[in-house]
Amino acid sequence: MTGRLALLLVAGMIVAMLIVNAMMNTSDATDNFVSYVHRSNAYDIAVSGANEASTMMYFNKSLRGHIKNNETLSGGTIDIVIQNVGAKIQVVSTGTYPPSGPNKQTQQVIFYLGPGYFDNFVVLTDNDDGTVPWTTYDTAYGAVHSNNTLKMDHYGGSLIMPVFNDRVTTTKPLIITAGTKPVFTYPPESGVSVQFPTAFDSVADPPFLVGTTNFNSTITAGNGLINLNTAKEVHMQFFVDGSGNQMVRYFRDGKRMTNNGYGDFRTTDTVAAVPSDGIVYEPGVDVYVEGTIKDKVSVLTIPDGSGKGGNLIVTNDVLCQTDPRAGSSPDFIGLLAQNNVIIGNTGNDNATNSGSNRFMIDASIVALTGGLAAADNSSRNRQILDIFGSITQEVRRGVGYGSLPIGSSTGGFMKGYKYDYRLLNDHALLMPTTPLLSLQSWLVHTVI
Amino acid sequence: MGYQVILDIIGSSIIGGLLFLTLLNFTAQTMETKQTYRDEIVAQENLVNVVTVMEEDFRRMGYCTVRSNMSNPIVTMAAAESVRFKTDLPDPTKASGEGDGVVDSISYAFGAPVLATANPNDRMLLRRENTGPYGGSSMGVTVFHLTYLTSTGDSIPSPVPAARLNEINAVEVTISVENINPYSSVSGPDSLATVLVNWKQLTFQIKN
Repeated sequence: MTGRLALLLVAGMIVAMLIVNAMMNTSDATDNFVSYVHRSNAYDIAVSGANEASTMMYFNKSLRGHIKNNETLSGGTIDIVIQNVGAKIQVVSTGTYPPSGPNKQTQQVIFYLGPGYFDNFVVLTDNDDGTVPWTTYDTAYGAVHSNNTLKMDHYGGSLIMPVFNDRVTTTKPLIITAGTKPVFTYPPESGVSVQFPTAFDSVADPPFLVGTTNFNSTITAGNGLINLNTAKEVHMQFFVDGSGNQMVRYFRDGKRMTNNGYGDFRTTDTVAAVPSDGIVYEPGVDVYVEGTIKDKVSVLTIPDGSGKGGNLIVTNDVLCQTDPRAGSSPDFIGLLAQNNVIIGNTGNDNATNSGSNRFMIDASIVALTGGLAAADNSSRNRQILDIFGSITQEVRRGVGYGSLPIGSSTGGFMKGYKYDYRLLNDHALLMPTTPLLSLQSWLVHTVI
Repeated sequence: MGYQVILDIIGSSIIGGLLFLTLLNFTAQTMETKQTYRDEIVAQENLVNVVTVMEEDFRRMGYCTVRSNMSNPIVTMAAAESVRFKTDLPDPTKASGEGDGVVDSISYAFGAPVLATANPNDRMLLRRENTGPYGGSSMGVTVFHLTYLTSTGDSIPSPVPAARLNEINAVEVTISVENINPYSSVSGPDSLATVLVNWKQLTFQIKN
């Protein structure tokens, strides 16, 4: 009897120790892993919420408020708040998984939307049918888009092919001629469409009108590509005076062609002060422009009722007073034409421009129904058309071509276009806005 | 008393002894299991801690509240075991984790072996903000490997030359963590039993 009791005692102890041991084996490792999985789920829910908010705002741009209040989604909860923060729209999407309990994890996606502008591309063309190719020596640093196609061509020899340093998108596939090897940082995408602007933004600032007297003249530009009608014209030379004031010198009595090219501005010409953050607006006039600009100044020209005017002819470098290529600059220039923006043939480029076989423009250029062109593009000096900013144009026009080296007496311009990344955040006056909002920033944030 | 009692005592002693031996063996196994659990917990916790910080950092790659301040290339140094990228670090005055709009940088590097731990394989994982000092983490990290991918998914050989940094579209991070104090294995006195946990994630740089 005593033996059986001892046996039972030992068996009882074994059972007790088994229970104690089982209780001492924790599930911490599993909990740890589960927490990570929960956080990943919370992240996915937050991203889903951000996408949902974007879709809802696509259909209703005025949507604001607490549009999702901890609603169930994929076993967790989603909370979405849309509100105005300054000039931007802030969207906060909070994902929680599971909805409650000690392992609850919360992730947040905070992103901002702002008005989209057409200056998000270094070159945006609505209708590029491939007639004017991108070719040897051309470079584009910034996004390039065409609502039609883009043609890549080359000249003989193992020359540098057109180089694209950012995204290249088209609606139709690219045309790449045999033997051409364009250099892309990102593979080009087709099937992409960008709605093109139809009008300049409403004039928020009162326009500054240069004079009131008009003068009739005729010019044929763009190597016969563009025939400017007999239009009134005004020649403007912007400069910053010794007191730091933005001034413009102008005349209207026709072109003054000299060995130094267009302009030949004289001390007797009218000089006027341009208001800070001003707009120079010339309807029914072809505007010839050059010089140095500070702060925000846009030059806008549209045709008159008879269709005359509305072209902008650049006769020499147009530069910001504070060089944006060197870093930050408060200066933003808009060269805005209802028709074309034309690089005028100054007759002696090296003498009048930056002296390094470059024609330099720091501006957002818009040719709403026309394109950017160069006068006499095949017969003028071989130079680099050095544009730092953005180009928005309805059609592609020629600025130069060939394999001749820089400095040759013919061949026109090789393209050296660089996007001004300041334009992602700030813009020239009157730059048209897109009908869609654009993403300003995107942040993933762990709350718990 | 008699034979019956003697047989009871002998029988129960034998059975009790067998049960006791079984119990000892069972306890030893339980202890080993518990040790394994503990190592797994430590290794997993270390991995989760490392990954939590790293995920937060890599998801900020290319982020800036003032997007025009951010410029290409986003990844400014790319090697197999070290990386530096631009971001906008959290502004301490903002609870939301948003930055102050000034472009910062975060660097990660796989450092020297950690001599203070029994595990001969673990190395320091180093992290640095801007040009500040490197902070080390002795979490039993034995593998820290970075792979750089283009927008088409092609990997770029490391170290990525400066001329190709712009092509980086995504960074794949692989981490392995072992317990820092492995114990002698029964399989041999010279071998160390250890727990290994792995983590791999592909992070796309933000295109603001």
